[in-house]
Amino acid sequence: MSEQLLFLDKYLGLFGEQSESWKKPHNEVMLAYRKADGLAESIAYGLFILERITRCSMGESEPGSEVQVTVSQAKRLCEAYRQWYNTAGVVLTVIEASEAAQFPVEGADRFREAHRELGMRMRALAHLSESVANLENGLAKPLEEVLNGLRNQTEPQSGQ
Amino acid sequence: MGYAIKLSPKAANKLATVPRSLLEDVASELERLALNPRKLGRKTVSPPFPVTIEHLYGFHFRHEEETHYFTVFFLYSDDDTFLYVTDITINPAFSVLDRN
Repeated sequence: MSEQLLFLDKYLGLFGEQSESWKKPHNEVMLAYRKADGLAESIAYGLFILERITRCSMGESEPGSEVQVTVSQAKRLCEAYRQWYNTAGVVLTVIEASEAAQFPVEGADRFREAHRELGMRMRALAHLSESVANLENGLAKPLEEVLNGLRNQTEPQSGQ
Repeated sequence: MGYAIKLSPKAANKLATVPRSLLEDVASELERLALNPRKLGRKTVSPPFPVTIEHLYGFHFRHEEETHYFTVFFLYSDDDTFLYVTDITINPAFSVLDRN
Protein backbone atom coordinates (compact mmCIF):
# COMPACT_ATOMS: atom_id res chain seq x y z
CA MET A 1 0.00 0.00 0.00
CA SER A 2 2.74 2.42 0.94
CA GLU A 3 4.44 1.59 -2.36
CA GLN A 4 1.21 2.19 -4.25
CA LEU A 5 0.78 5.48 -2.47
CA LEU A 6 4.31 6.37 -3.43
CA PHE A 7 3.54 5.67 -7.08
CA LEU A 8 0.29 7.51 -6.75
CA ASP A 9 2.14 10.52 -5.41
CA LYS A 10 4.53 10.31 -8.38
CA TYR A 11 1.65 10.05 -10.85
CA LEU A 12 -0.09 12.96 -9.27
CA GLY A 13 3.12 14.92 -9.26
CA LEU A 14 3.61 14.19 -12.93
CA PHE A 15 0.02 15.07 -13.67
CA GLY A 16 0.52 18.25 -11.79
CA GLU A 17 3.61 19.08 -13.79
CA GLN A 18 1.73 18.41 -17.01
CA SER A 19 -1.15 20.55 -15.97
CA GLU A 20 1.28 23.28 -14.98
CA SER A 21 2.55 23.31 -18.54
CA TRP A 22 -1.05 23.66 -19.76
CA LYS A 23 -2.09 26.25 -17.23
CA LYS A 24 -0.51 29.22 -18.95
CA PRO A 25 -1.94 28.59 -22.41
CA HIS A 26 -5.29 27.70 -20.86
CA ASN A 27 -5.34 30.90 -18.86
CA GLU A 28 -4.40 32.89 -21.93
CA VAL A 29 -7.19 31.24 -23.88
CA MET A 30 -9.69 31.94 -21.13
CA LEU A 31 -8.49 35.51 -20.76
CA ALA A 32 -8.71 36.10 -24.50
CA TYR A 33 -12.14 34.50 -24.57
CA ARG A 34 -13.35 36.65 -21.68
CA LYS A 35 -11.73 39.70 -23.24
CA ALA A 36 -13.48 39.04 -26.55
CA ASP A 37 -16.73 38.56 -24.69
CA GLY A 38 -16.20 41.77 -22.72
CA LEU A 39 -15.23 43.59 -25.89
CA ALA A 40 -18.48 42.57 -27.54
CA GLU A 41 -20.28 44.22 -24.63
CA SER A 42 -18.12 47.33 -24.97
CA ILE A 43 -18.89 47.44 -28.68
CA ALA A 44 -22.63 47.13 -28.14
CA TYR A 45 -22.50 49.79 -25.44
CA GLY A 46 -20.30 52.05 -27.58
CA LEU A 47 -22.60 51.80 -30.58
CA PHE A 48 -25.58 52.48 -28.34
CA ILE A 49 -23.91 55.63 -27.02
CA LEU A 50 -22.97 56.79 -30.52
CA GLU A 51 -26.56 56.35 -31.60
CA ARG A 52 -27.72 58.41 -28.63
CA ILE A 53 -25.28 61.20 -29.52
CA THR A 54 -26.43 61.05 -33.12
CA ARG A 55 -30.08 61.19 -32.14
CA CYS A 56 -29.37 64.22 -29.96
CA SER A 57 -27.60 66.00 -32.81
CA MET A 58 -30.52 65.20 -35.07
CA GLY A 59 -32.82 66.68 -32.47
CA GLU A 60 -34.67 63.44 -31.90
CA SER A 61 -34.27 63.54 -28.15
CA GLU A 62 -37.54 65.37 -27.85
CA PRO A 63 -40.03 63.81 -30.24
CA GLY A 64 -42.64 66.17 -31.52
CA SER A 65 -40.76 69.27 -30.49
CA GLU A 66 -39.24 71.73 -32.92
CA VAL A 67 -35.58 71.06 -33.41
CA GLN A 68 -33.50 74.06 -32.49
CA VAL A 69 -29.84 73.36 -31.85
CA THR A 70 -28.18 76.06 -29.77
CA VAL A 71 -24.54 77.05 -29.58
CA SER A 72 -23.97 75.42 -26.19
CA GLN A 73 -25.74 72.25 -27.31
CA ALA A 74 -23.53 72.09 -30.40
CA LYS A 75 -20.48 72.51 -28.18
CA ARG A 76 -21.56 69.61 -25.98
CA LEU A 77 -22.31 67.42 -28.99
CA CYS A 78 -18.92 68.12 -30.54
CA GLU A 79 -17.27 67.16 -27.26
CA ALA A 80 -19.40 64.01 -27.02
CA TYR A 81 -18.40 62.93 -30.53
CA ARG A 82 -14.73 63.67 -29.82
CA GLN A 83 -14.84 61.73 -26.56
CA TRP A 84 -16.54 58.78 -28.24
CA TYR A 85 -14.04 58.80 -31.09
CA ASN A 86 -11.06 58.74 -28.73
CA THR A 87 -12.51 56.04 -26.49
CA ALA A 88 -13.52 53.95 -29.50
CA GLY A 89 -9.94 54.21 -30.73
CA VAL A 90 -8.74 52.56 -27.54
CA VAL A 91 -11.37 49.81 -27.83
CA LEU A 92 -10.34 49.23 -31.45
CA THR A 93 -6.75 48.68 -30.38
CA VAL A 94 -7.88 45.91 -28.02
CA ILE A 95 -10.17 44.47 -30.71
CA GLU A 96 -7.26 44.27 -33.13
CA ALA A 97 -5.10 42.56 -30.50
CA SER A 98 -7.88 40.06 -29.88
CA GLU A 99 -8.33 39.41 -33.58
CA ALA A 100 -4.58 39.01 -34.03
CA ALA A 101 -4.77 36.30 -31.36
CA GLN A 102 -7.43 34.57 -33.51
CA PHE A 103 -10.31 35.62 -31.30
CA PRO A 104 -12.87 37.39 -33.47
CA VAL A 105 -15.03 39.88 -31.62
CA GLU A 106 -18.74 40.10 -32.24
CA GLY A 107 -19.73 43.42 -33.81
CA ALA A 108 -16.14 44.46 -34.50
CA ASP A 109 -16.72 45.28 -38.17
CA ARG A 110 -19.69 47.49 -37.42
CA PHE A 111 -17.77 49.24 -34.67
CA ARG A 112 -14.75 49.73 -36.92
CA GLU A 113 -16.97 51.21 -39.63
CA ALA A 114 -18.69 53.57 -37.19
CA HIS A 115 -15.28 54.77 -35.99
CA ARG A 116 -14.08 55.24 -39.55
CA GLU A 117 -17.18 57.19 -40.59
CA LEU A 118 -16.98 59.43 -37.56
CA GLY A 119 -13.29 59.94 -38.31
CA MET A 120 -14.28 61.40 -41.67
CA ARG A 121 -16.43 63.94 -39.84
CA MET A 122 -13.91 64.89 -37.17
CA ARG A 123 -12.47 67.72 -39.25
CA ALA A 124 -15.88 69.32 -39.72
CA LEU A 125 -16.59 68.85 -36.02
CA ALA A 126 -13.27 70.48 -35.16
CA HIS A 127 -14.22 73.44 -37.36
CA LEU A 128 -17.55 73.72 -35.57
CA SER A 129 -15.83 73.63 -32.17
CA GLU A 130 -13.52 76.36 -33.39
CA SER A 131 -16.48 78.46 -34.54
CA VAL A 132 -18.15 78.07 -31.15
CA ALA A 133 -14.90 79.07 -29.43
CA ASN A 134 -14.71 82.11 -31.70
CA LEU A 135 -18.17 83.19 -30.57
CA GLU A 136 -17.24 82.69 -26.93
CA ASN A 137 -14.09 84.74 -27.46
CA GLY A 138 -16.01 87.62 -29.02
CA LEU A 139 -14.68 87.04 -32.53
CA ALA A 140 -18.07 86.72 -34.21
CA LYS A 141 -19.25 89.75 -36.19
CA PRO A 142 -22.74 91.04 -36.87
CA LEU A 143 -23.84 90.43 -40.46
CA GLU A 144 -24.32 94.13 -41.16
CA GLU A 145 -20.79 94.93 -40.05
CA VAL A 146 -19.35 92.30 -42.39
CA LEU A 147 -21.56 93.39 -45.29
CA ASN A 148 -20.67 97.05 -44.84
CA GLY A 149 -17.00 96.15 -44.90
CA LEU A 150 -17.43 94.15 -48.08
CA ARG A 151 -19.50 96.82 -49.80
CA ASN A 152 -16.55 99.15 -49.49
CA GLN A 153 -14.14 96.65 -50.96
CA THR A 154 -13.38 95.73 -54.55
CA GLU A 155 -14.36 92.49 -56.24
CA PRO A 156 -12.71 89.40 -54.72
CA GLN A 157 -9.80 88.10 -56.80
CA SER A 158 -11.09 84.57 -57.00
CA GLY A 159 -13.96 82.39 -55.88
CA GLN A 160 -13.88 80.20 -52.79
CA MET B 1 -39.77 89.52 -35.19
CA GLY B 2 -36.62 88.11 -36.73
CA TYR B 3 -33.29 87.14 -35.34
CA ALA B 4 -30.06 89.08 -35.56
CA ILE B 5 -27.27 87.30 -37.42
CA LYS B 6 -23.67 86.90 -36.33
CA LEU B 7 -20.97 85.38 -38.51
CA SER B 8 -18.02 83.29 -37.43
CA PRO B 9 -14.65 84.45 -38.83
CA LYS B 10 -14.77 81.50 -41.22
CA ALA B 11 -18.25 82.41 -42.47
CA ALA B 12 -17.20 86.06 -42.85
CA ASN B 13 -14.19 84.99 -44.91
CA LYS B 14 -16.40 82.85 -47.12
CA LEU B 15 -18.79 85.74 -47.62
CA ALA B 16 -15.86 87.85 -48.77
CA THR B 17 -15.35 85.45 -51.71
CA VAL B 18 -18.88 86.04 -53.03
CA PRO B 19 -18.88 87.95 -56.34
CA ARG B 20 -19.91 91.53 -55.54
CA SER B 21 -22.78 91.37 -58.00
CA LEU B 22 -24.28 88.57 -55.87
CA LEU B 23 -23.53 90.04 -52.46
CA GLU B 24 -26.84 91.83 -52.01
CA ASP B 25 -28.77 88.75 -53.12
CA VAL B 26 -26.90 86.66 -50.57
CA ALA B 27 -27.52 89.31 -47.93
CA SER B 28 -31.23 89.20 -48.76
CA GLU B 29 -31.28 85.42 -48.34
CA LEU B 30 -29.56 85.69 -44.97
CA GLU B 31 -32.09 88.30 -43.88
CA ARG B 32 -34.87 86.04 -45.11
CA LEU B 33 -33.44 83.23 -43.05
CA ALA B 34 -33.29 85.47 -39.99
CA LEU B 35 -37.01 86.12 -40.30
CA ASN B 36 -38.01 82.48 -40.41
CA PRO B 37 -35.21 80.06 -39.53
CA ARG B 38 -37.57 77.35 -38.31
CA LYS B 39 -39.27 77.17 -41.65
CA LEU B 40 -36.23 77.60 -43.88
CA GLY B 41 -33.61 75.74 -41.87
CA ARG B 42 -33.32 71.99 -41.96
CA LYS B 43 -31.25 69.24 -40.47
CA THR B 44 -29.29 67.11 -42.88
CA VAL B 45 -29.30 63.45 -42.10
CA SER B 46 -27.16 60.95 -43.90
CA PRO B 47 -28.02 57.56 -42.43
CA PRO B 48 -26.79 56.24 -40.15
CA PHE B 49 -24.97 59.41 -39.16
CA PRO B 50 -26.00 63.02 -39.59
CA VAL B 51 -23.71 65.16 -41.69
CA THR B 52 -23.98 68.16 -39.44
CA ILE B 53 -24.92 69.27 -35.97
CA GLU B 54 -25.90 72.69 -37.29
CA HIS B 55 -29.02 73.66 -39.20
CA LEU B 56 -28.67 74.26 -42.91
CA TYR B 57 -30.20 76.69 -45.33
CA GLY B 58 -29.49 76.30 -49.03
CA PHE B 59 -30.15 78.63 -51.96
CA HIS B 60 -28.65 79.36 -55.36
CA PHE B 61 -28.30 82.08 -57.98
CA ARG B 62 -27.35 82.24 -61.63
CA HIS B 63 -24.37 84.47 -62.28
CA GLU B 64 -22.43 84.82 -65.54
CA GLU B 65 -23.96 81.61 -66.86
CA GLU B 66 -22.90 79.74 -63.75
CA THR B 67 -25.07 78.57 -60.92
CA HIS B 68 -23.70 79.39 -57.49
CA TYR B 69 -24.93 77.15 -54.72
CA PHE B 70 -24.84 78.43 -51.18
CA THR B 71 -25.31 76.51 -47.96
CA VAL B 72 -25.50 78.39 -44.70
CA PHE B 73 -24.69 76.47 -41.52
CA PHE B 74 -26.18 78.02 -38.43
CA LEU B 75 -27.04 77.56 -34.76
CA TYR B 76 -29.43 79.36 -32.47
CA SER B 77 -27.90 81.49 -29.74
CA ASP B 78 -28.49 80.22 -26.22
CA ASP B 79 -30.66 83.21 -25.42
CA ASP B 80 -32.57 82.78 -28.70
CA THR B 81 -31.84 86.30 -29.89
CA PHE B 82 -29.53 85.67 -32.83
CA LEU B 83 -28.50 83.06 -35.37
CA TYR B 84 -24.85 82.17 -35.36
CA VAL B 85 -23.64 81.36 -38.87
CA THR B 86 -20.71 79.00 -38.39
CA ASP B 87 -19.93 78.45 -42.04
CA ILE B 88 -21.08 79.20 -45.58
CA THR B 89 -20.20 76.94 -48.46
CA ILE B 90 -20.26 78.28 -51.99
CA ASN B 91 -20.18 75.86 -54.93
CA PRO B 92 -19.93 73.21 -56.15
CA ALA B 93 -23.40 71.75 -56.46
CA PHE B 94 -22.79 69.27 -53.67
CA SER B 95 -21.27 71.86 -51.41
CA VAL B 96 -22.46 70.20 -48.22
CA LEU B 97 -20.16 67.30 -49.00
CA ASP B 98 -17.22 69.59 -49.56
CA ARG B 99 -17.27 71.58 -46.37
CA ASN B 100 -13.65 71.69 -45.49
